[in-house]
Amino acid sequence: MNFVKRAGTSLGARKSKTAALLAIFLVICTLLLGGFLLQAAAARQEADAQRAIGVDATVRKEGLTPALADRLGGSALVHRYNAEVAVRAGAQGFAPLTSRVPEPGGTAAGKKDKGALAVNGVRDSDMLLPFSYGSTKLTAGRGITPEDAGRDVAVIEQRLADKNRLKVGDTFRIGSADGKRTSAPKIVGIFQDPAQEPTTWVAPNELPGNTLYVPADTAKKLTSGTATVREVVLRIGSPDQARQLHVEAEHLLGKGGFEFHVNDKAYKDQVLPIQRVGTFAGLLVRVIALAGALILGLIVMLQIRERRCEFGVLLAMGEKKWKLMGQHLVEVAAVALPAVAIAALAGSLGGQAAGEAFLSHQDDEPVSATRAPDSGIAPPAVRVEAADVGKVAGIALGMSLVSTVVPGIGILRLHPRSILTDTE
Amino acid sequence: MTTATTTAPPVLHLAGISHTYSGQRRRTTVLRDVEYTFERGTFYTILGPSGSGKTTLLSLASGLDTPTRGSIAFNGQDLSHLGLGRYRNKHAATIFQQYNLLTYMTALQNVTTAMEITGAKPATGSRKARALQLLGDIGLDKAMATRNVMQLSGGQQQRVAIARALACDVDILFADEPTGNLDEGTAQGIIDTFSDLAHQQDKCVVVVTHSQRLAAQSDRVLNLRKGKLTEQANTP
Ligand SMILES: Nc1ncnc2c1ncn2[C@@H]1O[C@H](COP(=O)(O)OP(=O)(O)OP(=O)(O)O)[C@@H](O)[C@H]1O
Ligand SMILES: [Mg+2]
Repeated sequence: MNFVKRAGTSLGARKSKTAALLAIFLVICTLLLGGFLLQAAAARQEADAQRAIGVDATVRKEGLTPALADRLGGSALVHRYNAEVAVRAGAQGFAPLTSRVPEPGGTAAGKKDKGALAVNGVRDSDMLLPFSYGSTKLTAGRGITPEDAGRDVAVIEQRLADKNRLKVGDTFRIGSADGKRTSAPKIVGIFQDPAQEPTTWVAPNELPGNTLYVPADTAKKLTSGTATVREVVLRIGSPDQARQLHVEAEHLLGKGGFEFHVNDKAYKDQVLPIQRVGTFAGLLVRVIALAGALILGLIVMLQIRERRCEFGVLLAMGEKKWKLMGQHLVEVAAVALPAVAIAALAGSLGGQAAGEAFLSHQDDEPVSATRAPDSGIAPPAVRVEAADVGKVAGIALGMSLVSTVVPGIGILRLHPRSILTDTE
Repeated sequence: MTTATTTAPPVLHLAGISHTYSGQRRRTTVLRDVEYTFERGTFYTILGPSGSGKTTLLSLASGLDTPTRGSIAFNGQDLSHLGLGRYRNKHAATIFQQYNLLTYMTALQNVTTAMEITGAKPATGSRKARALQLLGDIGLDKAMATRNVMQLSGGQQQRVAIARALACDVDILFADEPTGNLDEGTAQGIIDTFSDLAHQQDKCVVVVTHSQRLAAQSDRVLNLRKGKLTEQANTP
């Protein structure tokens, strides 16, 4: 292993050159690592954003059953979904809201009332457009979640609650339009719909205050005949997946005969900028790697030129060629590895700040128009991971290897005499 | 002075070697059909005007380059079969006209590195001790030996190059003007060393020189002129 010892002697004797090479390596490694970290952070953030924001696909079909809706929602592409079953029900033992304007023509006393309440059976009320846009807000309790399936619970409007002094935890009774079936849901949440009561007379079930949400099963119980789903909203990760979902829907519902809408505005507003950062970071990494390889290649090539004489002398003594390459490689690696280590250290200290500066501006962009502001993306987590450091080390060593061996081979195929006499 | 016997075993045979340098514009033929046999236990000097091809001949004989025509055999084996690298490593050492020291090392490190590469082991003691002894023998004390070679004078550097070649313990020692930068006293010491090497240790020593004084102390004097190598009539 005398070539390793020689490499040590050489490095020690050329301290200033070693330091300069270390500095250059350090800069390249830091930039490379920065690029990788940014790329990784952007990818993580993109995945988070896809999950948080996603793309909503809405499917509507005449006679769509809850079972079919659940099968659509069961697709592997779908993160969460909501199916809406709308029925009408009558209030039992409490007073629904009524229009303040009298009904033109007077109240038809004998007219069979189909029910003053607009009951919406839902799976996930947070996914309802007014809730997800933030125009309708929960003032108490919570919304309907998939876990509520099978439970008798309800979310009612503030005005109905006020009128009847109902609060979260109370139970009330509602009955099917024909009065044959009843249900006694417990209130788990109260919401406020900013829509005002119309100035002209409307049927009670059209008053915003008479709308309430229950799990789909509760709504199904209240229907006479078969319950149908008004629409299914399916949240998927990206616009690309919408096409796949459409294919799956065709399988399930038959070609044509159903409506399929994709709302990807929120996605475009929030995810695409992150994707651009990710793409930029990827480009950055490639450019730095290329530029770094070129710079290092040039430096090492110049060094090798300087070292022609040394190569010639050692070859003249019969030193093996691979040992000369080995010596040179050890010298470059002895500089590259500490550079990677220092870059990793610097990356773990400064990466967070740099990553935030790069990615956090997404949060400042106006998003109010697209979705509730609190669905914002978590701040990017810039972590120095072993895999990233490994990649940088790999690239750095690869660069050293290529920049050492390639020019080295050019010299080593010559006879020592030519190496010693030719002064290019 | 010991006269080489006619039965001395041949160690190196140059068989009809010619050498031509091909530059961009023209080709210069430096050696023409050189035929010669070197023997063990003999101290040779090669004389010739500047530019006559002495360094070229030495580089071919020492395996640093290959002749454009002809072949060279060591102990009866063709160098191309033996391998030039192996030949240089185990059997031949060269003291260059330009010294060619490793500039990032001390004099001592230059000598020990050569011993490591060639695998030369002293009969007794460490390589370092042997190297210091060799350097001391030609007038470089320990303080000079542990100095970077670039901080030594030309003559001192030349002596480091000589010590390095001697340390390798090879069969044939080539030297290109080894006393050019040395005062008479030191030069005589070197010549005596070469002479001992040939006569006491049965080595083959080939020295290129312009010095008639040196040539006069060698066993055989060769003349290189117009690409031809001829042996001078034995003049004691
Ligand atoms: N690499 C080369 N390419 C082309 N020509 C060369 C090369 N090396 C030497 N020559 C030419 O070959 C001839 C012999 O050169 P060489 O160095 O062998 O001479 P020399 O006898 O050692 O001279 P000196 O006594 O000055 O050292 C010279 O004319 C020289 O110009
Ligand atoms: Mg010469």
